[in-house]
Amino acid sequence: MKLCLALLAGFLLLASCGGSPEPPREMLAADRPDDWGGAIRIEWSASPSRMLPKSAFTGYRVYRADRPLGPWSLVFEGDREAGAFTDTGAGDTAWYYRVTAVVHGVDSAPIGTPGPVTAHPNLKAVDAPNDWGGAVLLTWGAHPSALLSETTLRGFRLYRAADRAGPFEPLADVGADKGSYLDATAGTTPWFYRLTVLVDGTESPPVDAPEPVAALALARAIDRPKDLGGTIHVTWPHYRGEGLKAYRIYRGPGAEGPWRLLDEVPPPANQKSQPAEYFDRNAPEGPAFYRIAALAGGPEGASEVAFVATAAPVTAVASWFVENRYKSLLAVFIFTSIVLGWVWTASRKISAGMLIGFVLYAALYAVVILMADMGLPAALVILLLPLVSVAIPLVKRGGKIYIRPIPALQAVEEAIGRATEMGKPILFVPGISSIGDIATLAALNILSPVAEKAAQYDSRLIVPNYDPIVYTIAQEVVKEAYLKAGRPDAYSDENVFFLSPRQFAFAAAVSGLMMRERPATNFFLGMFYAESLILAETGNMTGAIQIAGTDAITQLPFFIVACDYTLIGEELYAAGAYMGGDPKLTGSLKGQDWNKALAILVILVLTGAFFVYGVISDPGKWRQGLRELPELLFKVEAEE
Amino acid sequence: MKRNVPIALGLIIGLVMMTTYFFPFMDDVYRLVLQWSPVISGFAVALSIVSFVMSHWMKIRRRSPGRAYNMLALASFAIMLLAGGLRGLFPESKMFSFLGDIWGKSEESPFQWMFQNILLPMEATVFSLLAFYIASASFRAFRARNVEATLLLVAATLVMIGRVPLGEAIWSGFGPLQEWIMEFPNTAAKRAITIGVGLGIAATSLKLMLGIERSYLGKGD
Repeated sequence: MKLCLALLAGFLLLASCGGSPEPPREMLAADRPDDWGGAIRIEWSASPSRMLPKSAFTGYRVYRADRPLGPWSLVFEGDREAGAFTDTGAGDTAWYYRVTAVVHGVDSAPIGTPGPVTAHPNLKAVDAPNDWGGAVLLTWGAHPSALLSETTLRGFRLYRAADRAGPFEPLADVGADKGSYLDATAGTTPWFYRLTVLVDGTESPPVDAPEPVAALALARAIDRPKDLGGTIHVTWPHYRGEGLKAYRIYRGPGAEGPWRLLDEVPPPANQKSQPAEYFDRNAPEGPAFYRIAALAGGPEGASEVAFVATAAPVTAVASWFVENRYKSLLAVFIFTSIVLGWVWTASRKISAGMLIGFVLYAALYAVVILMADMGLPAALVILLLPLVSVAIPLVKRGGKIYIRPIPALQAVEEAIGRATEMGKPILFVPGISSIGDIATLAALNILSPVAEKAAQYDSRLIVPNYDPIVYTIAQEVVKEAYLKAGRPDAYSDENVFFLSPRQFAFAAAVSGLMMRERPATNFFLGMFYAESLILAETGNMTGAIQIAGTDAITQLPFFIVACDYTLIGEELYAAGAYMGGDPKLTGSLKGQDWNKALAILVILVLTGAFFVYGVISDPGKWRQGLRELPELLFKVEAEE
Repeated sequence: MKRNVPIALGLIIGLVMMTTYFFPFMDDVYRLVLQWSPVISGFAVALSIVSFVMSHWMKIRRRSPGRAYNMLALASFAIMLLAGGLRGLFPESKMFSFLGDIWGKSEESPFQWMFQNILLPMEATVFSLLAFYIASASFRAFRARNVEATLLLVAATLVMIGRVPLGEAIWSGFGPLQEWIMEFPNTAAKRAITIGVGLGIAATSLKLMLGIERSYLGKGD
């Protein structure tokens, strides 16, 4: 038994001393992160030979070579506890590394890296995490020069370029104690970054980040659909930082600007339910980028602390149909229906053209309703109401229509008769606007019956004109009226003439005309501006009976105080119907009045409904509003 | 034919112009139609000039009273036409640079000079008459003849007093009171007129487009 144990111990001793040394089982060589570059860290696992006595297994050796097969140079020799080594002299060469265990001064078989390893200069550029986008975080490790005194190492200088070949533009200088920098102006461009060390006034060779990096663009900009164009809807995530005061919205033609400040908007009161958004209603025709800055800060002041930008350009284009105008289109149809209904009511016959027109009208209206996409019940109501208003008069046609009397129009004949009796002329001024103004057309519509009556009474009608086109039309209207009255011989071109296209020259000329000719009756109908009172007062001084009418609200008071009769606003448009006596015109006037009644009804109903809704939904607020009403109405400031 | 063609044209153009409001792709048509307007204006201006000259000339010829004014109007017209028109026709002509040198203001043509120093001051003079006319019209309007006129008188007095510093000095409530009058009753009345005007314009446009209103074309069916 003793013999057996002795043999076993001798065998083990012989095996341990006389066997070949073994290398570590695993090894790893990699560029060291977060350093300045030029350093490669090699790590390995323990060698099985560690079981040998200390006198036999002394440690490990690390070799490197720039080629796979050597020649190998020793870069490190460590003791038996060593497991890692950092090769700080790696520079920018691609190295092959191998590690051996040393037993009795002899290297074991090596374990090596499968491929070369390069120590990259570790300037790292990444999209700043957990931020608002638009920012790149740059980090770099401790530079060997950091060991130098502060008076020697001045700091670091960062550059960036949109292209790897440059040109690199200086971005910032940072202190020697810094190892990172946040580029908050990165926008959406993929930037190439570069770093240099400032030592004693000189700049080291640059170190480049290996890859370009772009900050995440979180803002979103879309062309608002179904609009006239020119509107872009921009949305972005809420800024989550402290002290947010407002968002500033910028627009630029390119991803890098130049940026133009569009607006500064406060953040929504409830950031959970309300999105951060902005409508750029003056968007340019071409592509545009948007950038939003978060304005934050304390009581001492706010500054732009973070940015978010759109990644892609957006162009505002016009849709083929403007969706938000379909309500106007429906209003046009309703209005037209009521007017046409009354026109047909006043008509004494139904022609084939009327029926065809009605069918076409109904079809077109139905198409518009379908386009509006408002749901079947609402569509039916909106479709049927006006169509019924058209259809009923088609059945019950030919009735007598009552229209409310307008004193100014009833006085027209009397005024013309007065001029005839006095043997003085009649002056008719059709405003000082162009033919594109409906008020001018309304004035010309009144001119026709006035001229006809003047011709019948053999009174001289003077029509001075301000606008060349209006002059030619007025001439034709008066000529036709004289013809219709059977007095073409009484018409003279001299009485319908062009004066001046200058406002006050025209006013002066007409005033002079009134003073010299002393007309018995003056008509001032159409669009007037500041000259209205000059004309009306001059006419008043001459003692003429004056009938004025305009839809210019600012001039109405002048006419009211200086003239005998005034057609206020829409009455000007009704005059043609009153004086013409055409049943269709009378019907249209009735339709116009019904539309006005409808508008009043809608205003009253909606106002009442909103009022009741407000009282029911929030009685407290209503009571508070009631308490504040006197202050709101009179705006009486609290006395100090 | 004389009536129906203009009415048909009016209907088509009116519908097209109205449609462009809802369909922006027709905006080019809208602009094209607007471009035609100056062409028509050009012809109308020529007719207007003929009318102007003939109107004054006939009065001179007939030896009408005040014909001196007609002569002055024609002379002014001729001078301005020469000063502006000939230079426009011959911008490089040495004659005009010679005139400019005589004038002493080479950067300012005789036309511009007359426009700036004769026409504009005269227009300003006519405009300034408005102040006196407002006073006389107010005097006449503010007589308390009936209830409406009395209301007008009271409202106008309050507004006038509230808008001058003296009113504030008398009573600090005049300012807010006139603001209230202008902001609520006045605005309400103005909006009522505006709504009526809007409906009137729409109805008149409809009548013109459909040929219901055709007085402006000359009376008759």
